[in-house]
Amino acid sequence: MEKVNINTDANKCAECMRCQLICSFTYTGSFNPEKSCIVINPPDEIRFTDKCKKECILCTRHCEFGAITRLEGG
Amino acid sequence: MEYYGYAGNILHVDLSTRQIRKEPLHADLARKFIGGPGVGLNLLLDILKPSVDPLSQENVLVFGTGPLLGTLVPGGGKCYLSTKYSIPASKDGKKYFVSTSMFGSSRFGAMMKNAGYDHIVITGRADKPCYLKVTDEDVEIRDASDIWGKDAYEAGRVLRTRHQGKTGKCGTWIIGQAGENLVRFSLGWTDDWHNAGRFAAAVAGAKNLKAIVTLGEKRIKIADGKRFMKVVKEKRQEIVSHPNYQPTAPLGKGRTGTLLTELMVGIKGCSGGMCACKSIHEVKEEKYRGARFGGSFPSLPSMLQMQLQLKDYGETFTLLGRMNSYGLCVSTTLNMMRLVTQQYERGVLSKDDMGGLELKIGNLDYYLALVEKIVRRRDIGATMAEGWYPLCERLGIDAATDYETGCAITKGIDLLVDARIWPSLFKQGTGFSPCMGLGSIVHAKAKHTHSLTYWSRDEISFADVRKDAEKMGLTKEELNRIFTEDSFDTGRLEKYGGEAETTYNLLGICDTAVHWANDPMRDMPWLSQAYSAATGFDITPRELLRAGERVFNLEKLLNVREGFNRKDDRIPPVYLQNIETPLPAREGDRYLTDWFGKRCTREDLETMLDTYYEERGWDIEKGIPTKRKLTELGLEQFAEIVESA
Repeated sequence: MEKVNINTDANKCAECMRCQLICSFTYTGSFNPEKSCIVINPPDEIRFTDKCKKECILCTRHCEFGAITRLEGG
Repeated sequence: MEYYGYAGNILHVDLSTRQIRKEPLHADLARKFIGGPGVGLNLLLDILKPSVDPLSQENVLVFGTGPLLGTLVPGGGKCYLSTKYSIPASKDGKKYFVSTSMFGSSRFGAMMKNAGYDHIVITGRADKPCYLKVTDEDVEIRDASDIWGKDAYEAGRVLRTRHQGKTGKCGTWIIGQAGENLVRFSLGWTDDWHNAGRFAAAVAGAKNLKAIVTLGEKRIKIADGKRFMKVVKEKRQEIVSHPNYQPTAPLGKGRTGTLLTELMVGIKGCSGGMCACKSIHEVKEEKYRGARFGGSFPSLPSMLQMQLQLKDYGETFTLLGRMNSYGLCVSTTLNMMRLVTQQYERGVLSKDDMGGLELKIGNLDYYLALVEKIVRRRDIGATMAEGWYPLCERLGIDAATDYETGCAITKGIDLLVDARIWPSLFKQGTGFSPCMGLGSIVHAKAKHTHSLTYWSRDEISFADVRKDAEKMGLTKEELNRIFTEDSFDTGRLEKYGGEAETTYNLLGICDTAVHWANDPMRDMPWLSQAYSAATGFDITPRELLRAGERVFNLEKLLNVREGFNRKDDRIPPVYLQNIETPLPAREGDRYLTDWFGKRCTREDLETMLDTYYEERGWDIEKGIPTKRKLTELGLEQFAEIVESA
């Protein structure tokens, strides 16, 4: 899905999966990247699945590398 | 039993009979040995018979993870591989060490746990090339004939296309052609960029095992989620506030740093990692197209270029890329190529020995041809592939003493960190410190311990070392034995450095969240809180450190059973030469020193070993655990091993 509040840059992704880990833990109560709403395939893509909540920006808070960032005002 | 933190199962795979068995992880095993190599080495004590040939089907490979891996704990991506390693550790070729390689992973470890397994035990030998697919749906031994003979990166591309997950790649551990051809210093790759198992890929090759693929949708549950996230968030805040914190690898200063920055095309970190310690660099010139270097040692290309007298980074990356894709240990290959070239130049080796290869120092094609000879086991390459002792016997020299310009060899391997050279790189020398000097020698696998506080850096002071020891959870009595007002006992301190590192390994986390200064991560109270909240198994900081000691002793027991003792922990003779004979350095002659820069005598070095064993509660003369120590650690059932040694 399109996220208007988040910018992604797959070239900066280190595949640490912190975004997927916080996403899965927050919404399923346990850790599993496969249960998250983010698809990570660097350097080709970072995208959000249809299950992703439109307003959620949690993943931006856990990315240390600038691959997923919050857009100003987003 | 419902597990938290742990996946809760051990997978047993017999490649000979193709039998696959799932065994529950017993809670008492998890409590006593925590996880990771604690459980893995314990399994080896039970399954691996002493004195077996490491390349026979009787050898055992154990892969696994720890209870904090795959969570949001900073650095929570460390996996382990325990086995009997393939490199001869003695001149007579009879001794081989049993040890553990820790390695980073992105998807491999997390997906192993999400497939439902903490550990994978692999025994036997497949009758034809295979790979192991481990998912939550099934475990399969699959035909690998289409990827056997392919390099590690190419095989990885094939497997990731075949086993794509819903939200990303599958996890992979793969060997290259060097492992397939049983080159004894070959290594595997995890998730493409994390090297894994120096000297162990040939063990997989001998089992006809090309790769392991992991993928799963099970969940890693947390016992007390609220408490766990609080502990994790507070530590994360401390890390990002640390003055030395930077999320990507420091590439160095000056011309080299600038060049590496320009050539960087990507970064790689471990799952949960807050610091991507690996970076990938690519040369842009058309003639070197595809020449890549990836890793966590940015100084490696310039070192290789200088030592082999290569023309530029294009040539250097070409050679490095070739070694990496074949799965050769770059360090050992580099050292061996230098020795063989030196001996060829001196006439010890003839053109016939070299298979007609012309001696061309500084020529890329010459080194590429030599790499090819090692991997294909041709001409002198066939002997090189067997390790240091067979090579030196062929050359008629002593590996330990006669390679004076090269490297120190302990337990059959070239030490990654040279205690003679490191002091010359920094103002305050590391010298024969815990971690870099002594740690490398006393370790079962002769590796430097990861106690990074002891790395020589201008900003690491004596006070930092003391603070680090306090944060490891040492008692006042222990601290008083180690420290005086302005000095410390290297031998005694190394005991705790090694144990602290082992403790991190058991949990499945890395202590390098802050580059080259593990100050925030060295925190035993925090670790015990994270472990307790994640698993529901309450543990004190002291008990956690004690578990590290227990497993360190367990690893030693496996090696005592193989005949290792103090004689194998001897100070490498090339270091001893440096007591009297200086090495030239930019700032003047350098002698072997301790951490403080004070010149070491032979007696100093022996005293370091004495106090190390004494602090361990081991037999000082034999350098092995005592029955009393084993009883204290709850390992009394293994007392017979030390009593018969």
